[in-house]
Amino acid sequence: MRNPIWCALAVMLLGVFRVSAGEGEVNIFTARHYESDKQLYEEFKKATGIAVNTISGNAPELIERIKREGGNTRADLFITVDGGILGTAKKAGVLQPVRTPAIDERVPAHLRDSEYHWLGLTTRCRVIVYSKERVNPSALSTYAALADPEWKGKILVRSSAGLYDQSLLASLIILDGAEKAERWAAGIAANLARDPQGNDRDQAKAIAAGKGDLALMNTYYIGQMLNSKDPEEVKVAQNTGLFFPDQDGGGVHVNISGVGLVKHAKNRDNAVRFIEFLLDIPAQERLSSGNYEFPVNPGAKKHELLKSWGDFKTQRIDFNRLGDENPEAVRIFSEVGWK
Amino acid sequence: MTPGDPGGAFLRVEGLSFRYGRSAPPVLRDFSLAMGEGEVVGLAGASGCGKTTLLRLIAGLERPLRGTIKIDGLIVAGPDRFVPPESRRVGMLFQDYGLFPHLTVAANIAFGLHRLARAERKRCVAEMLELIRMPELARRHPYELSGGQQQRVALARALAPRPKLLLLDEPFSNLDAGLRASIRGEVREIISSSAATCLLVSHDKADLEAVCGRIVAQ
Amino acid sequence: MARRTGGMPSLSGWTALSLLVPIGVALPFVFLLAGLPGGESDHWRRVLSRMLPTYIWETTLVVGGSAGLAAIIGVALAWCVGLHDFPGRKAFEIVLLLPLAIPSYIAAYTYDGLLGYTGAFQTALRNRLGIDVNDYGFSAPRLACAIFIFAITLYPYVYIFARTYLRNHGASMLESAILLGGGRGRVFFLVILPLLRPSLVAGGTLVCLEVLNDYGVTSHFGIHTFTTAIFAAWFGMGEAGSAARLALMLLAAVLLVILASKALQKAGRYRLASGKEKGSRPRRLAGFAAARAFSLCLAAALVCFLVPVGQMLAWARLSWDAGTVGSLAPHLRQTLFAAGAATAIIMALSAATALAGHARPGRGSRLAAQAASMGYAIPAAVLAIGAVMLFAGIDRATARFAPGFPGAPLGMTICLLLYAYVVRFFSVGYQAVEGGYLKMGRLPSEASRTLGRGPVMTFLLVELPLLGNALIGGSILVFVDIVKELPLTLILRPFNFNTLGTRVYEFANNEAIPETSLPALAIVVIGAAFVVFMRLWDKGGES
Repeated sequence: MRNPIWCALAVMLLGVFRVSAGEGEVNIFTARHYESDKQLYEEFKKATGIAVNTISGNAPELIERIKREGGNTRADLFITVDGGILGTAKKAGVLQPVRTPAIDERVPAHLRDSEYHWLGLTTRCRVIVYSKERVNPSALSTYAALADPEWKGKILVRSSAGLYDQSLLASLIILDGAEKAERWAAGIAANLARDPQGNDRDQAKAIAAGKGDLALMNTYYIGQMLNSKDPEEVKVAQNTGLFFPDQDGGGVHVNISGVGLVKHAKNRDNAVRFIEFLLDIPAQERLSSGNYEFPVNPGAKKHELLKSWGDFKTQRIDFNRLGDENPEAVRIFSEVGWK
Repeated sequence: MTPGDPGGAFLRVEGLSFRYGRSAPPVLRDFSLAMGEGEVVGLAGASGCGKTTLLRLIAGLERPLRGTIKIDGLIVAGPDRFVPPESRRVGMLFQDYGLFPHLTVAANIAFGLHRLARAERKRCVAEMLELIRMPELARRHPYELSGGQQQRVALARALAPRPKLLLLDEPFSNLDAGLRASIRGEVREIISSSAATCLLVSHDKADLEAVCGRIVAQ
Repeated sequence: MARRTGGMPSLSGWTALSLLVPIGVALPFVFLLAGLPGGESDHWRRVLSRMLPTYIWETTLVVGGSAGLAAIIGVALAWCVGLHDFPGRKAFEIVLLLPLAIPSYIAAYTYDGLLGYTGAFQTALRNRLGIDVNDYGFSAPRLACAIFIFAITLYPYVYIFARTYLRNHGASMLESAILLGGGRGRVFFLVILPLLRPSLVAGGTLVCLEVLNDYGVTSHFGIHTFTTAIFAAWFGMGEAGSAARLALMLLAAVLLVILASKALQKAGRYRLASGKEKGSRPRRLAGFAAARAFSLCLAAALVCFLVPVGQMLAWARLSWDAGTVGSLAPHLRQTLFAAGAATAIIMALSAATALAGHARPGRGSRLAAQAASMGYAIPAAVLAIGAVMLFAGIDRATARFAPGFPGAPLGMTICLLLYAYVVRFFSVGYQAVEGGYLKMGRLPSEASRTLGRGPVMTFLLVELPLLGNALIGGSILVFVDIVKELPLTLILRPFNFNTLGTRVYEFANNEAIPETSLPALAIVVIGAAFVVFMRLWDKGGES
C-alpha cells in the first residue's frame, strides 16, 4: 500500500511541472465539440506550428472558471455557441477587444460585438420543423402564430433549461417587448403536445412518432440527421419539413457561434492568428460543410444543403442583448409553465 | 524502575471506577485489589459483572473513570497519568484468543519479541513452542488449529515477551467439557513453569480452583 | 514513559491526522460561501418563488421513487441468489453486479435511443410488423423514466449489502423461522425484511445521495430537482449567491438523509446471538421453482445490463470507423491515469484517517470523517467552482509570497482535478476501510497493543494486512466511480486532458448518440472488469 502512495505523489509532482508554458501554443476554452473543429486545430498547427490546447465544456461553467482563475488563467480564447453567452462573457469582464483589418474584412458588422469583444464564427437559425404528412407549410407564418389555438396539442419543445429557446424568447422580448413575448410563451405552453423534454433531435423524432406536428429546431441538426449513419434518423429528417418563419416581419431567429479573446490571455499573438485562421474562407467552408452551419465570412461558400434552403430574412438584433434579456426569458418560462 | 511497593503488593488496584460511555451505568464502582509477585490469583463472579473490564483496565485498553492502578510500584493509570498498553508489559490472553489470522503460529508467538535480536527471538519462539508442546505446528496458520491448540498458542504468545503480569480472560470458556479438564492442567503447568504473576477471571469456580493459588470473589 | 496516551504521535498529532481530510473536504465549500455575493435579482426571486414547490416535489418524488424501486429490485435479487441455489446462480451473482459499471446518464441515452421512435424496438415493430406503438398512445411520463433509469443502474448498492447478509445469515434464519411455523411469504416480511434493514438503509442511502446530486439523467428527462435548480441559477442566470443558498438547502437535505440513515441503522442493528454462525446451505431449487428464479434473474440481467450494452454494441457497429477507435487511446490512458492516481491518494488518506480514528478512540474524529461524506452528495458543479476558487486563492498566495514556484499555477494542473476527486470520493474509500475495521473487530489490534506494539506498528503489521480485502474492495469502488465521473472532470481538467467520460459528453452534447457508444462501452468494460475482479477476489477471501 505504501508504494502506490509514493507513486501517486511522484505523479502529482510531475503533473505540477508538466504544464506546458511554451511559445508555440494557443489555449482555448470551448463549448463547441464538433469533430470538424478538431480537424481545424490540426490544420492550424500544420500551417503555423502553433499547437492548439483545448478544454471543452459547458459555456457558463467555462466562463465561471475563467472568472474565478482571474489573472492566473491560461485561457487565451473563449469559444461558444450562443450570442447571449458571448454577451454574458463580455459583461463578466473576462474578454478584451480584438480588432485587425482581416477581422473587419471577414466578419460583417452585425455578426460581431460593436466593441470587438467577440466575433461571430458561424450562424444557425431556430426554425419551425413540421410533419410533411399532417401539416401544410402554407398554414405556417410566424413564431407568433404558433401560439394560436389552432395548434393546441400539436407543439413540441425541449425543456426551457435549454439555451436555444431561452435565446429565442429573449429575441422576441427585444423585438416585441416583454408583455407580448410572455403572451406568446403562454400560448405555446398551452399548445404543447407533451411535457417539454429531450433534445432537438428528439423533437423531430416525436413528430415522426405522431406525438405532435410542429417543433422548434436548430438548422444544423436537420443537416446532421439527414446525413446520420442511422437510417431511421435519416427517414425522420426526410419526413419533416423546414420552415423559416417571420419572413414578412422581423425575420427568422438567428443565433451565433463566436469567439472572444480572454482578458488575461498569455498568447495574444497566437490567439489573434488563430481567430483570423478560423475566419478565413477555407476554415469557414469547412465549418459549413462539416457541421451544416452558416459561415459568417461572406466570401465563403455554403454547403449544398444550406443553399437548397434558399435565402431568407434573419432577425437583426444586437446579440449582447440576448444575454441581457436572458433572465427575463427564464422568468417568463417559469411563469407560464413552460418547464 | 523502582520495584516494590510499601504494602508489598505487586499489583495494586485502588478505588477503580469505570463506565462505557457518559450515560451508561458504571461497570466497576470503587473496586480494589492487591496481589503479590509470582502469585496466581483467580477472580470469580457472574458474567457481566465487570471482570473483563477490570482486565482491560489493567492492560490499558480502557481508561478508568477514577482510581489508580499500580504495577510493580509504578502508577500506570491514575488521575493525571495514563501509560498506553504497549508500554505496560502486561500480557493478556483474550477470551477469543485474538490470534493474528494472517501469521503462522511461530510468527504469532514472535510478534511481541521485536526488541530481541533475531537469534534470540528464534530461540525464545522455539522454547515457547516446546513449552506448549507444539513444535511441529510452527508453520501452521491459526485456522488450521483446533480450539485447544489455538488457546495454547495464544498463551505462549502472551507469555513470550515475559510480561510482568499475565491476565487471563475466561481462558476455558470456548472449550468443550472433555478438553477443559486436560487444558486446565496444561495451563497450570505452563504458568507455574514460567513463574509469571497471573490474574485469571472466570465465571466457573472449577476453572479457578484448578489453576489458582488464591481466589477472590467480586 | 510518556504522560497521557504516550506512543509515537502525541494526542494532538492523532487529532490533527484525523481532521486532515475533513478540513480538506470542507475547504472548497468555505471558499465558495465566503466568496459569493449575497442577494439575488428580482427576476430570479420570482422564478424561485414559482418553481420552489416544483423543485421540492420533483426532488422528493424522484429520490424516493428511485430508492424505493432500487430497494425492491435489489432485495428481490438478493433473496433469489442469496438464499437459493439453482442452475446459473453463480453467473448471476456476478452479472447482477455489472450495472454498477454503467453511468446513469449513459443508461438514459441508451434506453431513450432504444425505446425511442428511431430505436430498434419501435423500428422493428413498425418495419416488420407494421405496428406503430404511438398509435396506441405509447408514452412514458418523464419522472417514471428517470426513476426507472436510476433504479436499474443503482440497485446494485442495495443488492450487494443484502446479498452478503443473506448469504451469511439468511439461510439458517429462514430455516428456523419456517420450522417455527410460517409460510415463506410471512417469513420474508416478518423475519428477513426487518433483518435486512441495515443493508437496505446503507444501500438506499447511497442511492438517495447519487440521485440528489445527479444532473445528467434529470436534465435529460427535464426533471426539476435542487441540482438542476442550482445549475439554472448559477450557470443560467449568473445568480451565484442564490445557487450557493440552494446548495445549502440541498446540503440540509443530504444531512437529513444521512441522519435518518444513522437513526434507522441504530434502531435496526441486531447483534446475532452467535457471532460465529456459519451460513447454512442455501436451499436447492429444482423444476418450476428453479425456472422461476432463473427467469427472474435473467430478466433483471437483461433489463439492467445486457440490453443497454447490446444497444451500445449495435451503435458501435453503426458508428465504427478506425479513426475514431484509434483516437480513443489517449482518452483511455488519461482516464486510467487520473482514476489510478486519485484512487491511490484516496485509499492512503482513508487508511490514515481510519488509523487516526482508531488509535485514539473518540467519537469526535470519526464523526468528522463521517461529515466528510458531504463531498459525495454535493452537486459536482458546486464543488468544482469551490475547488477553482480555493486553488485560485492558493495560486494568488504563491504568486505573492513565492514567485516562480512551482512554475505554473496549480489551478491549471491535474492537481485541481485530483483534489476534487478526493473530496468527492473520499467517503467511498473511507466507508470501505471502516467496514473492514468493523468486520475485523478490536481484538487483533488490542492483542498487538498488549504485546508491546504501538498504534503505528499495530496498524502496519496487523490492521493493514487484515484490512487487505476491504482496501482492495474500496479501491475498486473508488476507481470505478472515478472512471464513470463526468461533471468534475469536465470543469476541472487541464488542457488537452480528455477522458472517456468527456468524450461521451462531447458526442452527447452534439446529440450524436450512436457515436457515444464506443467511449461509453470502454467505460462499461473497464468498470465491469473491475467489478468481476472484486467479486472473484472477495470469493478468494471468503474461504
